[in-house]
Amino acid sequence: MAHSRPKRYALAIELTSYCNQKCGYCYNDFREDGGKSLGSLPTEELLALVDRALTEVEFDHVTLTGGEPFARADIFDVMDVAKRHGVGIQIISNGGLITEAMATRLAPYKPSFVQVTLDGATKEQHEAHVGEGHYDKTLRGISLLKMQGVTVVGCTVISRKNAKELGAILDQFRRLGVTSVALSRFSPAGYATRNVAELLPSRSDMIEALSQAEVRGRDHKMQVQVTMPMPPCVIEHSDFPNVRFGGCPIGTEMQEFALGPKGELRNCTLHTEVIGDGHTQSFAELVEAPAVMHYRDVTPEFCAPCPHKRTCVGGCGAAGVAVMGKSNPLDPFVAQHVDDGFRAALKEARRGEAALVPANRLRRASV
Amino acid sequence: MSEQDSDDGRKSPDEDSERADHDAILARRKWLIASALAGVALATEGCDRVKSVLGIDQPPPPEQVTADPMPCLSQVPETPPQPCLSPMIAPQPCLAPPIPRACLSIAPQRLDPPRPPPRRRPR
Ligand code: SF4
Ligand code: SF4
Repeated sequence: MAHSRPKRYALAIELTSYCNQKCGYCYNDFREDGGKSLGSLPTEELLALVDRALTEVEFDHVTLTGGEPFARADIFDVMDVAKRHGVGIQIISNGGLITEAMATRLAPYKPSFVQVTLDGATKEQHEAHVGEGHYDKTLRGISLLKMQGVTVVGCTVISRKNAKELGAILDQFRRLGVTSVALSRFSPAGYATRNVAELLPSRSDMIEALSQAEVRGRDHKMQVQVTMPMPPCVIEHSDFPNVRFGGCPIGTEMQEFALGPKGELRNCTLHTEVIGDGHTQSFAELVEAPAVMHYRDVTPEFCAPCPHKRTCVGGCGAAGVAVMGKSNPLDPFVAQHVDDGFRAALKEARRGEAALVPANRLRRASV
Repeated sequence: MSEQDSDDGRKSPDEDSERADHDAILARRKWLIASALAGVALATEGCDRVKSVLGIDQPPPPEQVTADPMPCLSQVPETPPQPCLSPMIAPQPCLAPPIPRACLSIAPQRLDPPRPPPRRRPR
């Protein structure tokens, strides 16, 4: 009897742990040492793994990410595998390594889009987030892609440092001919937990940013989508009718699994916990593993009486686990305002009185 | 001196907005809970009863305040990337257009997946 394959929305393939940028908000754990200790899979192994993942599970599309996915020349071989399986292709990039030859070669693959991140309207502001020397390269990458007819969408990671300038960043995107932008608010997981005090935007910061985005959506018809959850207790979504919001997709049909640089499968790119090893386990079984099926069973204490706990799940659980700990994984975006211990620790850290030690660093120190 | 006060006894603008954020979230969570209760009461008692019990004017249906689950890494394309993803539109008030998801099977039943109110999405 024929077995039908499970269907899931997306597989994010972390092609490499190497990245040319040094972003303070990087959620990859492997950013810690620039990906040196992790490296990436040899081409043949990677292609075989992707081929099997796409054979065993019916994904709508793959999202090619990293590290910086264009750091791997064999990104085109991975796209060939995806094409052979008839699945869509999306690429997340910082744009800085894209050359004219790459853009030309990429165009016929017709990826749904390449998403390029810009965190400031000026060189200074952008590079305050990603490290020096990258602004011009990113702008050049965007223009090379556009010249070849590749669809480019923008992304801005909203942080405490740029939230109030979001309007200017969106205007810059518009000048570059990019009118669809993902707003990925800073969500501290992996490496980024060391920068919580510096980068975590407050509710007020976010309302300011969303107000500026709303104007661009309304007046300039920009498509602005917040891609990290904004829990309804923090943000009234209907105040921003021209901005789209989403919730955590883990355990739903919209989930985007992450296939790590060593072939391990995780619930999403921000979560570090491994569901299983793609080399030795069936992907069809992994996407239905208990870590997926029971993901939404955990409720942070603050959310216990809330009627939205099953849909909202307390915001971003990956950031919750990384910063607050596994037993009470409330998104730090919420916790910064309602958890007294965390509020006090943040305040001390911002005054320079004491370092804030997130749960994932505490765990690291104790092993 | 409270922890909110600065050395000269006055609160900084940051501390003021921090307090406002704290209060707003707690008040809004309370309102969400009340709204859900009102929804239940609406079904069983009718509007007048809800008003008198909860003292809130227009409890919204709970599904109007939560967002659809969607991946966090990138936009969900405006146009479905594949022919099989025809938009599914359900008669439901919603802020954003429908999500393309006709050929996506729901994750296993036992997950009790949040009923994604259909919408479109970029990313
Ligand atoms: S589940 Fe938690 S974070 Fe989400 S709206 Fe309710 S109280 Fe807020
Ligand atoms: S835990 Fe959920 S909300 Fe956070 S990044 Fe992962 S999928 Fe998105």
